[in-house]
Amino acid sequence: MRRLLGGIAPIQLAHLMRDGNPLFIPTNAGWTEVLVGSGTSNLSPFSLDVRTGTTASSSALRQTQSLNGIHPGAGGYSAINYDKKLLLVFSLARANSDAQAVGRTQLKRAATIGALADLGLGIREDNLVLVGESYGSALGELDLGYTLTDATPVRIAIYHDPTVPSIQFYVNWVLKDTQTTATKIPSGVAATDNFLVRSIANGITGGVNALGFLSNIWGWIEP
Amino acid sequence: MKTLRFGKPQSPAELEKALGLQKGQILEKRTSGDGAEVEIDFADSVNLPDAALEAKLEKVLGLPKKA
Repeated sequence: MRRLLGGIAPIQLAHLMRDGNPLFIPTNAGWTEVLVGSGTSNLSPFSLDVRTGTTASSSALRQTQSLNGIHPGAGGYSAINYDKKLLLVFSLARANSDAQAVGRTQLKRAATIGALADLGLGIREDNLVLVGESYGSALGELDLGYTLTDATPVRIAIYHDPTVPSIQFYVNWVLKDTQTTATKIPSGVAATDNFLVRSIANGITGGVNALGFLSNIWGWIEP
Repeated sequence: MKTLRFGKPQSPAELEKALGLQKGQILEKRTSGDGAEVEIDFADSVNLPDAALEAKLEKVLGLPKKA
């Protein structure tokens, strides 16, 4: 077992608070909604949810507005500098198992549903199975070997260290896997709009209202 | 006692019902973060005149059409 703060020496709480840009992303307002079929979603002060409804081929997506000011000094007002360290932490959960449902929580340079196709990182839920996603010039996918329990949140931490380079994926503060293939790790400045996106989509069968939750989002970016 | 519940249709499927459209005729519904703007993609198979569709939408959504 490996604990996040114990496992990453440079990322200690004092350093996080003193030398970085802490991020606290609220979920109660300002998230654009994109719905297909019977998809719905809700915002609340502590969490948001996305729901497929029971109609086949439905989806629901919530995206932040462009993350303006997320990284002062890096190539533009809404830019993310992936040559700096980044830690993103959030809780997620799924309810109502549907073998065809795919959920995603992504920091990405697009606001569309689906796999990363540009600089970014995130977590995918293949129904209840967690997969770590990242993109530099190619899509990286790591099976995190963790299956969610229905309606039970887990704490996700994604730590991007460009000096290695690597992306570590933690579930409940335990390191599950590390992406070390450089082409699958974002680098450089993502100068155009960046978004945090939570989505869920079902498949051609439908019949289940698959729910995805996202809550308690915070992070840290190296200055 | 009688309790009645009201609310705007949220999913495209609910909106199709409210507008009297067929299933699948709304392809995607996008709502801005502040809820002030709604954008809807309709299938070509919707055969209502634009004016009739816009009037129904204004009533159902409670929002005026934007240019």
